[in-house]
Amino acid sequence: MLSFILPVAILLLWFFVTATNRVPEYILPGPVTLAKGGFDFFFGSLDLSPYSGTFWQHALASSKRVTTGFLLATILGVPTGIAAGNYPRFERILDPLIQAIRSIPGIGWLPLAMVWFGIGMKTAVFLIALAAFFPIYLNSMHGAKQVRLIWKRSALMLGAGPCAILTTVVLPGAMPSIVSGLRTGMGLSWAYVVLGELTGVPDGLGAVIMDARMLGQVQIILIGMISIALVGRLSDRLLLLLLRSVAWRKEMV
Amino acid sequence: MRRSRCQINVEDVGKIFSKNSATGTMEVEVLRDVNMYVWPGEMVCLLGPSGCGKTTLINILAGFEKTTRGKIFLDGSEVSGPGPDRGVVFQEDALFPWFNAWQNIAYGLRQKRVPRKEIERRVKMFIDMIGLQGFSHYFPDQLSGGMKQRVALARVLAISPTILLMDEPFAALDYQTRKSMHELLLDLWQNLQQTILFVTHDVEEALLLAGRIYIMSARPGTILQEIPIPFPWPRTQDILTETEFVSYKKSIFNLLKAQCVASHAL
Repeated sequence: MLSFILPVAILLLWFFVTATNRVPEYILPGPVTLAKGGFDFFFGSLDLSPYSGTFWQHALASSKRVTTGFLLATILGVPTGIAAGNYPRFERILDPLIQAIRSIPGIGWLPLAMVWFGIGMKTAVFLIALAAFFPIYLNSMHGAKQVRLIWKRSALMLGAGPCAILTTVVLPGAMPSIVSGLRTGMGLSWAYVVLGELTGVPDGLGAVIMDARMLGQVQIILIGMISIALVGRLSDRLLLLLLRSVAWRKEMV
Repeated sequence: MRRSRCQINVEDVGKIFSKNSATGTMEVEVLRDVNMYVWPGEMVCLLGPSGCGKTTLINILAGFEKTTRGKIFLDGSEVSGPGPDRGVVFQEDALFPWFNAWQNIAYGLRQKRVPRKEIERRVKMFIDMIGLQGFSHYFPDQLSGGMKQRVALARVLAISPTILLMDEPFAALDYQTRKSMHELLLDLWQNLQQTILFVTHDVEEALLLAGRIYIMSARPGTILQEIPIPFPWPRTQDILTETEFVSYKKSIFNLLKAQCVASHAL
């Protein structure tokens, strides 16, 4: 009950200041305008705007970029992280370089990415893969380091070879940490897809809010922001479901 | 030569740990001239004060650590590095938490590529033997300390190691559980004729289980004395109160006490 007090108060205040025109529509549209615009954006046919019913198409475009970039980051981040965490020598070779690259903020890569990849899918995917790589790599490395020596020794004395130790001891031992890395990476992927789409691509939720800014459609900006939050949250749930189905134990995820 | 008839033979083993510090390399001698052997089917206890290098010796026998001097022979041939011919039961909980009891016991057999049917048969047999019927699908954190050590025992017995190394496996358990583990171990040892080297600092435990006891000195650990234990098999907890048992206990206590005094005097 207590948790509803603040949101309801804000909603009332919002309704009050917009209905009485204390804050004009072009700065902050009222809740009703927003709800109508949202319905139209999702399902169309309420009024004829360029955004009617386009949510699905934009969400799909963004999801494709996020999925591609996130998969790339996972394919690169998990194995290198595990290797660096498990083999100190590999860490000494690889980690300083990765840490150096990590100190460049992800946003700082945008101009270079545009030079390299132009505007569109490739730039967005590059930015996402780059941003999501670091938490995935770092958490996988941390997880592999947390694997207890006694588990490795147990596996050794039970006859496991180096490969079996990686797949049956190090990977499951590092799993909880890998999962948190993947979830952080997924969250960052949604942040960076917006960045990638701000630069003039025709579709995607990030493109929608940038486009709406130029057309002065503040309600669409807000609806776009909420849509990104919803889709991001949904993708986190889906990721968890997927990981739970492949994990050794669902309690690990 | 005796070496070839023994299951395990430890010859002149010494271990020095060197640590690098700001002031130079510091060397700690943990083991010195350790000589011992175990016959096939025998249960031998290694008894010593804490910090005397018992665990280091077990780690060397298991192949987890290298010797500084000396050699280890298994069935007459020298060994280095870990292998499934030497099973270990650790003092700490060492089960794989992501596998349930069944999968933990099956682990070694899977590594050996034993056919599935045979794995199922053997795992079931060992679950019955350790009395954990109905707990196959429990994960380690859902089992009590005693149950975990039962699974840890079954997991190594399942791969039929040449020798079973046990490093104070029941030290962390409460008194009652420890007693029932002793009975289980004595049972398994007799049924399977498994060669066992059991490390402990508990005199009573050593006297109850062992056919022979090696007494270790304080650091640097070496074998002080070898004592054959004459109590007949099968043994039960009843012998704990017999006069002969008590007098053995007293004399070994005195030996160990002298070691403790010696190590504190250093």
